[in-house]
Amino acid sequence: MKTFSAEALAAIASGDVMTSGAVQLGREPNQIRLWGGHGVLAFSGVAYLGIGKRGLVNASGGSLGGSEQGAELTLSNVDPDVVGQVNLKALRGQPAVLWRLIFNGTGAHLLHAEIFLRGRIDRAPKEETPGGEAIIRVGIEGPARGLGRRSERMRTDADQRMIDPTANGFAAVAYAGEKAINWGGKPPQRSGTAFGGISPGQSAGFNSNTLAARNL
Amino acid sequence: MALTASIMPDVAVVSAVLNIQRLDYMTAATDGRAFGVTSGAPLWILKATIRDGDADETDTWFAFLDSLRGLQRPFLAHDLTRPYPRAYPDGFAGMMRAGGGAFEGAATTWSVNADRDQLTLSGQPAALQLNNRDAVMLRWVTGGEPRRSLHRVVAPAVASASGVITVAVEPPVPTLVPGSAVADLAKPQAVFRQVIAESGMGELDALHSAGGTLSAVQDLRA
Repeated sequence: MKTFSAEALAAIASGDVMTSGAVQLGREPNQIRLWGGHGVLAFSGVAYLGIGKRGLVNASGGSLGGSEQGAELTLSNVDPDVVGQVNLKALRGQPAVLWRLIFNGTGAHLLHAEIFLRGRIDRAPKEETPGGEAIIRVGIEGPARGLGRRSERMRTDADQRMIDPTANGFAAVAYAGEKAINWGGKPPQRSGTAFGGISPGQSAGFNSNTLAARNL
Repeated sequence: MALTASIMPDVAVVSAVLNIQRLDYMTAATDGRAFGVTSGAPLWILKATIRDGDADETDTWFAFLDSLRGLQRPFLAHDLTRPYPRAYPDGFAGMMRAGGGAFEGAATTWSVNADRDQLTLSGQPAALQLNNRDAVMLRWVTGGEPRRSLHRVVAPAVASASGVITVAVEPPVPTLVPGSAVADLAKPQAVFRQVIAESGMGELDALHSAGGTLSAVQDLRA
């Protein structure tokens, strides 16, 4: 449930709104705090360093009943003094807190700040394009995937067959989600027949041809 | 070549534009109310086309682009078509502040409203005119490096008899600008870094000259 402040809702409704994100990585005392704007921003009692990255948090909404979706941070344009703090190997498993920030349209007033996701850093690949951007992508895993699971078992065919190679009870699991079932029976076999594109005589001719071909 | 930011050459520029780049997300459908949000703060982007001028001009541009060392060094650039406000195309020579003293473009003090999109400049000449597309820069120095925040006037304004003028500007003044910054109307600059993939000089011809392009993005930092 999103509970935006009244000012933030009014700003969103009027279009006079600017969004950004902030992230806190790691534990004390080696915490890195970054936000998507310029300069230093302080809220909730701590200061965040601006990295000027407008699409800082690449997060998705997710859906009820769907699989848990993590978030991905794209850190580029990071100041060298920050990059010095980011040891990619040491980042793995570190806690991460993502904030969603809502400003008024000029960026002068922070109207709303809420925690969007708490999780842990899953992976942090680095991408470098000669002459282009150097990006550190930080994948954040939310608590619903991995963190809170009792065991490593999953509801997949591969997992089931590790227990018993002949058990095919999960064989259709991956396919079940996209299986189309037509109401009231089978779907029309040929669109031509369904929409009258072929006369019954032609159809009989085709059938006798295929029959003849099969008998060859 | 100084280590600090160099200044973009003003020779052989055939056309150039400074635009405010915003990242807006709009609803995909166009059949209803247009609706969206802006993601993050705006930045200036600079695009310039360099003429196939004479050899001197071409050499100047080669030296400038070489000296940037790719992305390593920022540079300063102003709108070449509007170094000074439109009403004073040749600068402020001979102009006096309303309170006395020569005026060279810098305000004695400045302030910004709560929404940070209106600048009030004091210590201007009486009845100073600022028109659309005139620009104001806020300049300061951090660790010996020049810092700039560039703002363009979006509604004409005239200074009062006591030399105070309030102008609406875009983009809004970032919160990182220190109060000790100086508001200046002369050659309002921003700090840029070149976009390497889109910048460079072309092939030299028999007259030892070449055209080129420069594309740059503002490097805004405190």
